[in-house]
Amino acid sequence: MTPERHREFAERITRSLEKVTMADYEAVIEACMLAGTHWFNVALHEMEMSAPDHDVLHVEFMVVHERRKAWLVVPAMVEALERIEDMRGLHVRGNAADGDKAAAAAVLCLGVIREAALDAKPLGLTSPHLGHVNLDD
Amino acid sequence: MDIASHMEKVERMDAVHRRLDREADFELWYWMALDAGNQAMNAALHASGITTEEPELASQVNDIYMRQAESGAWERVVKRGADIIHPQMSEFDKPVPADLQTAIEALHTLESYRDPCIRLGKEVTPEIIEDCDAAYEQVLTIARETVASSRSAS
Repeated sequence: MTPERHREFAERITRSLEKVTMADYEAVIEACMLAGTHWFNVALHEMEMSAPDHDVLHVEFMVVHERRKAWLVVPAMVEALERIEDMRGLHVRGNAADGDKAAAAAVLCLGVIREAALDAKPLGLTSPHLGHVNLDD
Repeated sequence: MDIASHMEKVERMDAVHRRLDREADFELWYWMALDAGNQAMNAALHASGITTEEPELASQVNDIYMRQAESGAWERVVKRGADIIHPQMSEFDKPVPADLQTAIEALHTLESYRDPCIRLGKEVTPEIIEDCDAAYEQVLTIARETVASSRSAS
């Protein structure tokens, strides 16, 4: 999708996030994951590190070399989304303690990702089509 | 995770789902249904003896679970046959009863809208919302009945 469409989704989901509380920690973490992933894609598209027809689903599912490159450029953004994704097993699928604290941390992580996306500019790197590995090949 | 914990998650997620506006908040409304549906499915699979109640928590990847060590820290482990993350990504070692298969297919229907509508920008129509709602309610109804009948049988 285009950066504009990702941004629209991220902003819609963030408005929904405002309707739940930290006590609804599963919803908070999932909203941060969804909105954060859209902002993450905004950043990669704006930096021209990913093509508009290639979106990231989860950082954990990225091809290793693409994840490495993204981390070298914006480590805080990559680590923030990864941290949110790691919360899902413990607090959304699972019942680990302190879900509300995790949710508060997820909101901070979402802010980190959003700021990185809003600051993103073309980096002039090699076209993302070159070197992209299609795992279905 | 045990059945009671799965059903507690269902009630928490379902409560948020019902509070949200299905149009204005479609993405989170939908996602809470997906999460609650999957929790309900795990409870029903455990109750039917198809998968087992285990202390480990499911991650985003099949067969990778989070286990709490004695120190309290969480570590990743690889195992099979505990909580699932998506029915269509799972293999079951025991036959699935017909009613539970119906619930699995309903969860598939719900999941079929995930990437198109949440991640790829497909327009969300009133018909899609109705379809999601009907599939979700079917998953919950069958799962709750499965869990209740296993309790009365034990």
